[in-house]
Amino acid sequence: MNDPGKEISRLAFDERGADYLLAVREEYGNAGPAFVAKGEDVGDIRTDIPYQLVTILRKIYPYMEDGKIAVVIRRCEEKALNELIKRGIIDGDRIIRIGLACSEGQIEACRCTDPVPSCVDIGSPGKGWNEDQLSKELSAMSSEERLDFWVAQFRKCNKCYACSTNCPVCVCDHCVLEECTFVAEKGIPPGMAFHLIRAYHLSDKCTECGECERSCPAHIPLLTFRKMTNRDMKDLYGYESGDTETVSPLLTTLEGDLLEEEED
Amino acid sequence: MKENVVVIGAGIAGIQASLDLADMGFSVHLIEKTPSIGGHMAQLDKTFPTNDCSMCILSPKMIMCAEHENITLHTYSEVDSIAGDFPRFKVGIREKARYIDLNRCTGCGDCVAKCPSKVPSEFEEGLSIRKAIYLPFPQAVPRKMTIDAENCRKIKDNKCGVCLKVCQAGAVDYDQKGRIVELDAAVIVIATGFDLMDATALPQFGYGICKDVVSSMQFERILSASGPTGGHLVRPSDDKEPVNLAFVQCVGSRDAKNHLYCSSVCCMYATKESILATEHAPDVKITIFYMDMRAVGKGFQEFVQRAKKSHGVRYVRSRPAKVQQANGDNGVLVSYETPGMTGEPVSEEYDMLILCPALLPSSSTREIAKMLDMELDDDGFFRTPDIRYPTDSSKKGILICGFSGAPMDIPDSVSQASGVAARTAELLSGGDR
Amino acid sequence: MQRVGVFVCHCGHNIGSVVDVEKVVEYAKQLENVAVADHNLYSCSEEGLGSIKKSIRENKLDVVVVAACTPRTHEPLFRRACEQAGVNKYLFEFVNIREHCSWIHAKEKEAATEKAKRLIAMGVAKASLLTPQKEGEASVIPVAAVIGGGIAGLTAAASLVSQGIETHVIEKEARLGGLLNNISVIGPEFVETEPLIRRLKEDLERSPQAHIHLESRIVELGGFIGNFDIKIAEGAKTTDFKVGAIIVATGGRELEPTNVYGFGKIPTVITQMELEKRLAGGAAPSSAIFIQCVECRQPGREYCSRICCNVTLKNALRIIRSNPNARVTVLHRDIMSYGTTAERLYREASESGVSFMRYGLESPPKISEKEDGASVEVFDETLNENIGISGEIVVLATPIISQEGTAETAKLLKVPADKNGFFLEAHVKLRPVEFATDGVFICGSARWPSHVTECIAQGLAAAAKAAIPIRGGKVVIEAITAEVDVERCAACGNCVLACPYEAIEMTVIDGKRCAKVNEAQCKGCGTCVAACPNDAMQQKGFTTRQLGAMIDALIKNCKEEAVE
Repeated sequence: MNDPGKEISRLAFDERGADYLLAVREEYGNAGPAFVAKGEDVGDIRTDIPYQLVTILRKIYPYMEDGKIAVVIRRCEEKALNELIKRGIIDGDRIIRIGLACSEGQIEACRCTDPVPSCVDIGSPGKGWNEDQLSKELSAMSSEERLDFWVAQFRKCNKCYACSTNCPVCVCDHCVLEECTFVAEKGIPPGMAFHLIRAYHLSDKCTECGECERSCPAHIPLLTFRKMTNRDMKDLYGYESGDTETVSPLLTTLEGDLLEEEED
Repeated sequence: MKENVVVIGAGIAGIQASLDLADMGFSVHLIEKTPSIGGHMAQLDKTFPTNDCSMCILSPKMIMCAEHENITLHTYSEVDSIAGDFPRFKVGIREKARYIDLNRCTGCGDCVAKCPSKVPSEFEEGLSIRKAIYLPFPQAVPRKMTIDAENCRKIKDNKCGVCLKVCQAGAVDYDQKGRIVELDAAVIVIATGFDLMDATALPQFGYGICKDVVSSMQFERILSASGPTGGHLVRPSDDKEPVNLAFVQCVGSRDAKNHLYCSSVCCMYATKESILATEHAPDVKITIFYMDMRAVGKGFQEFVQRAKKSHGVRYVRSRPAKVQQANGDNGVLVSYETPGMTGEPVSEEYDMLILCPALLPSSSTREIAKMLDMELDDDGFFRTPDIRYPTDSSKKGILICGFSGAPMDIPDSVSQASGVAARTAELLSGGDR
Repeated sequence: MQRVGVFVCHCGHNIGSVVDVEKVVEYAKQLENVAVADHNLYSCSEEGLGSIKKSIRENKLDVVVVAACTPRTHEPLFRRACEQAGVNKYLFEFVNIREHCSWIHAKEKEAATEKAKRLIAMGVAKASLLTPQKEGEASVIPVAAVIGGGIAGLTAAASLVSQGIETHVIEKEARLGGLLNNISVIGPEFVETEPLIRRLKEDLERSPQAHIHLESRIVELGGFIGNFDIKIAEGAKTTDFKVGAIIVATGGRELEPTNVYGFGKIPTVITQMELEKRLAGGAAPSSAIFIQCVECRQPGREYCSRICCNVTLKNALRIIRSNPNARVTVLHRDIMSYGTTAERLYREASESGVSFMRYGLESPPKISEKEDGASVEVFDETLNENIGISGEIVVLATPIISQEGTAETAKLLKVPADKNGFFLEAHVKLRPVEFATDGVFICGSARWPSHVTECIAQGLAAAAKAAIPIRGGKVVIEAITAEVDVERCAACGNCVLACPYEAIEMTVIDGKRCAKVNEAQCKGCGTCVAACPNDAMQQKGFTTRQLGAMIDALIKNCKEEAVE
């Protein structure tokens, strides 16, 4: 599509009754999030640049007391939004979704297994990737080798907080990683506690959008880390994040099938 | 002025009806012929299909009955007379002598330890002993002792008298007399429940003949941690752990020579007892001989599948023809035909056999019906002639719930019991529909 | 500094014969904050309670610890005693040294005595930090709402109205009656449905207490027990009203067979409901084949729909009664005619010439079209051979499945549904017509496929449950609820998600985003407390500090013992 902005604008304001639109816009040769009110010129909207708009939405939301906000939303963003709605952080009735299907190139870059939003308004649905190469290699390793790999990777971390700042589901106003209870105030690297806490706290929310990996200046393969953790959640609890109904198995009692051994 | 409602029978249906009626503001008199409320549900180890511990879910309701300001318990009591019509029945309650001052007894049990008389325990289905002075089970409500006059040496022969000496609360009173309490009642609720059919009436199944043939309720007590074997799965003949067990369904039910009807709950409880048995002793192998597997409620089919797949229970669609001794006193030999018309006659040895006998309307059902001059249906249950009111008997103001009306499981009994409360409120609000 | 009183009970010989009560009392006397320690033979007796109350007054006690049996039996009793002696009933701690000590360590008296000391030390540590609590009260609006006007809903509504309670019936169709509008006769007593439904309708129509809303559905629902706000769309207009209790009676529907047994292709293959219509219209087929358990009791839909066997038996007999020469065959995988009258119906059908053939899940019947009907080949498990039968009609008995829109209704009412879409009651055995959410009740096939008599019994039961708070006029709000420490709350939303009663919402207090507990809806289950990563959520009466103090007391006692 040549000018997706026009179609997005029409869908948001004319068809679906939004008061505001959140999308990625190119201005002066740079692309970034734009928050546009009804009636304003939407500008040059880009749909081929991965940018975690739900993170922006979450940060603006407390200041928007009323009005409906339309968001251009990829599948990972849609799932993240559902996780926020489940936790009462965003009122789902106020959000209008404009579904964006990622291009093949984008799917490959994210090694995305679930690339198609539930309603596709822009783009054409692509096929998901089965597994990411690094995950395959790591799975083949012994657990000691795997641990060594990650310890080495996390040694590169300089505690810039880019991963948690840009993550759409990293929501706490006071984050335990910003206090000195588990993470030393001074000195880098911050130690494994930082990464393990983050891994655990996100395990029932992460939708594999890859923003953490893209943002990390030390090029730690965080998306692979997330994919492997999520796979464990699926294997252990049959749980996948991203819908509006399922309560995280970490917050509730397991019963029935989940407690029993799998048959066959 | 709170209106009186008399509830006859304190099993789960009577208990639920009493609680709902009391919560609505009626003054409930709950009559129970045994020393404690609770009924058969108190004897169960676990309940299908969730395998909740039966006493754990029942005892809070029992305690609520005891503590509710609108409920008066008349335990160890029977209905002496019923006269009059709605809304002014006159009910005579015969409170039998317990020979215990209920205001003083704290249920401590010092007396039981010293009592010399041993009697087969009704609660334990004859598998163990109680004393002449006894608490029927540890969680009994009210937690008060009872002296069974028939078996008490003091009351019968003027010997012994140890319990009075031992009781520190001074609660024993050998001169106590029963009494009749007369009440006006606006509505009467019949919740008289069921009795297990005595399977000795069907000698082909070996009950009372072969030592290792037990009834399902006896098996329930064997499985129960508070039962006669401490929950240890052993067979009666030699206290050894059985490996091969079998259940026979429909003993006396769906049987033109005995009882035509289906007792409704046995398919499910046999499945439950099988699952529990394998949990107690993972090596046991269980066979259930059945006709139709009636797993019609919520989660029931999945429960049966679980028994088959995860617990290895073998379901054989055949009615055993004969059960005999196998090796002297131990075990049984079951003869049956393999399913289908081209079936072969087969004999299999089992270490223990559990019979699921017909569940009959209790003797109290018959007595109350006679007292009220009401006809029971061909199967011995109270009739409910108007489809709009499944809890109304043929006499206005006399309501029924639970097994006194038809075979049904616990949730259906509880629903009916609450339904009785609604009908009582309707009848006494003057709203006639 | 709280003045704590400790009362250790002998419980006759239950505790006294195992635990050395006097030693335990001496030990308790020297614990921090303990002003007085005493023992009773039976604390729950008139005498015991009297002595405790006397001690409270004389020693000016602030908090009471009773070490005895289980709180499940006598907690309300002792709390009442505290209140009567002038102490807030939540300034009471019950330590169980019977079930948790003397009964399970009956053969180890010394160890049991030491354990009793520890348990009491823990109880005293917690009691020292208890704060008074107050139970709230909410008034109950004396109006009920019944969602669904089928047999269950009509019964519930008629009962409520007959009890003098104003009731709204919300029905999505243009007329009341539900599934029974399309079924003329029900078994096993062959009762006509039209007079049954008509009488219930008349009961409602002639009562000024009943409000019937046809072609209506709920668009908004808020509030909690005693105070629900309902907004319905009634045709073109919207109506608001407040109620104190809600009964869900939305029923179920027949599964339309998908592409099995020639349905949709062979015109003589029909559903049970279609047969009902034809029989009501006077049809008298000369032959019929019923196939039971169509698309149920199999992987993908495991459950048995409870009613279909009896419906088939009734319809089979109707066919035979209208045409004694009719040939009727029932292909089944078990006949679920449980109970008295249904089992007799099965016998009557069999004796009237209805053939019953058992087939297995692995070899379903095969259907082919014929000139004047259909022919069915079935492997009969009893005869152990393939049998061919032909019939003018083939009737597929499909299960009752959950009503359309169940997910939306569940969401509006904040009640759960199971994996088959049937609403999930509070407890499958002992609370079949109640939801865990207070003030909302369930009856009929919305909960589980049920026979008409069962729907009616459940409708009456739900009416009783709904009437209780309405008659009472008020509901007590649990005092032991969860509470948010606004300072510590990081607005992560875990508690909102974890709460099984949807009693927590995200809000803004003094400009700070945080969670807030609706005390009227909170049941004090503690799930949110466990879910909170920041220790911001606390359970009144079980705060982290109080529980921490118990652990500290235990460790201290163990260390002391080690030194000894």
